[in-house]
Amino acid sequence: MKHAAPDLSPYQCLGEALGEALDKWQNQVALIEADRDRENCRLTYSDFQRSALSIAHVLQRAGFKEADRGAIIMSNQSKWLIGAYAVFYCGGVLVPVDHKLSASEHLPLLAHAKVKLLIVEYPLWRLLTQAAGFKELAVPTVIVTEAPRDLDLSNSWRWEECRDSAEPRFVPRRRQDIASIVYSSGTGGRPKGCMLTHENYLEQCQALMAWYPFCPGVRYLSILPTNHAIDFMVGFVGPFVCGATVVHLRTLRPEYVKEAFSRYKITYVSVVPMVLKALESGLRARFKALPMHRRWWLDRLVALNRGLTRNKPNPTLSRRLLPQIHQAFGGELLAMITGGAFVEPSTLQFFYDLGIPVANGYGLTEAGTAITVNDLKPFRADTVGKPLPGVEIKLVNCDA
Amino acid sequence: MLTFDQTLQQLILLASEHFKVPASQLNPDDDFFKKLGINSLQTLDLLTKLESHFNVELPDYELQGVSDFRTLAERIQSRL
Repeated sequence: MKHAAPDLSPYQCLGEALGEALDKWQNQVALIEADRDRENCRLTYSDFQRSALSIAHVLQRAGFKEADRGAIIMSNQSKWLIGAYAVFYCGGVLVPVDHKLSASEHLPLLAHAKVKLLIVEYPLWRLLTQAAGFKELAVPTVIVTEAPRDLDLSNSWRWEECRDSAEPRFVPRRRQDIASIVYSSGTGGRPKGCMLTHENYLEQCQALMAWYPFCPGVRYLSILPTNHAIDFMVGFVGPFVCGATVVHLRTLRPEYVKEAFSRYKITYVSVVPMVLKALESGLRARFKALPMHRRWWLDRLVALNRGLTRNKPNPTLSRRLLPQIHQAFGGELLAMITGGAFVEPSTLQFFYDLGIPVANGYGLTEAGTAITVNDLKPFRADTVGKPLPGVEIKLVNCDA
Repeated sequence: MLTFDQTLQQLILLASEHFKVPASQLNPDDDFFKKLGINSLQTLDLLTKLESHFNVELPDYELQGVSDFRTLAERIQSRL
């Protein structure tokens, strides 16, 4: 695979950068959406563009305009990204809301953000309509996805019927304009709306892709919620500007996630530390259950891999030394990305020794998400990495 | 076909056995995350067990926002 970091400096806004990517990578597969062992859809960049522009025109017809705020409450799926691009195309401000919150938590956030548009999955919409305070919610345009066919949605629109072949008008934004409002509570407390500019995203994307370049052929498994800043960047903006493929799973049951690694030959995945720990525990339990002679060989091969990859990862070598382990992850996994909570160095070392580096990072939504990431040059288990290019860090009250 | 009450009762019994919490301590309107002391990964485990027991498919996305036994039983019942 040829890796080259994209140059996003010519672009003023996400709509522009993504739009050019859709033109550039037309025939590449942009999205694969699977539900258990069924594949729901596979969209090329061209298909994606057609769907998003159709939604964008519907939004413009409904009066959605520059700087209007459009919320999305959905689990990871293709319509999330299509809806987000449609909002950017119209010059809107995206409000990605955590779909795991309760309806009574969603309502105040939607009211606080003063959204003019809501794109929501039907099961969540049903809960919203049943929540106390729903009648006070004043959102002019609501688009509901996957609603049952025979259901009357009254004033809301059915996503599947939002088809419009007319060409919408692209509304450009400037770098300093707000691109999104992301509600984040950090490690606790009341969620606050973090206002991130187009420049924040473009610079962040440029920096991350410089260290972990995506390209056509790379397949990113999107497991973390896309409303979260990490997946929004590495599961949407980053892969798209580089022509890579994003794989969405409609279920996160471990057995289907495992299968997806093999079926789609996943290259990168982001996981929360809790999942990483669960993976480690599962692998350790399997290793422990091996017959003594096989365990002896495994330990030697892991030690050999550790020694030979001390300075930098060598995926080809690691896959040859430990084929069964790598096959379990699809055979093409280059790295896992993690952050958001403390990860024990022993866990990071465990995966690195198997030839599966974990890029551990640190960041916070209001600072543009990732601040530091381990660049694996060389790998170190005891750090969250170096500041990304263009990021300045000041340590305050280190001993407090 | 099971009645709703039977579905609810079986659901509570299964959860009780799986997570070793006495059924007598579980009520239909309890938040199962809190009452069973489980995280989202463990919930997926429970859903797989429920699918196998009731012989239905319970899509994760249809269960978003569901946190009490009664609503979970309603979702199962609608698929029986």
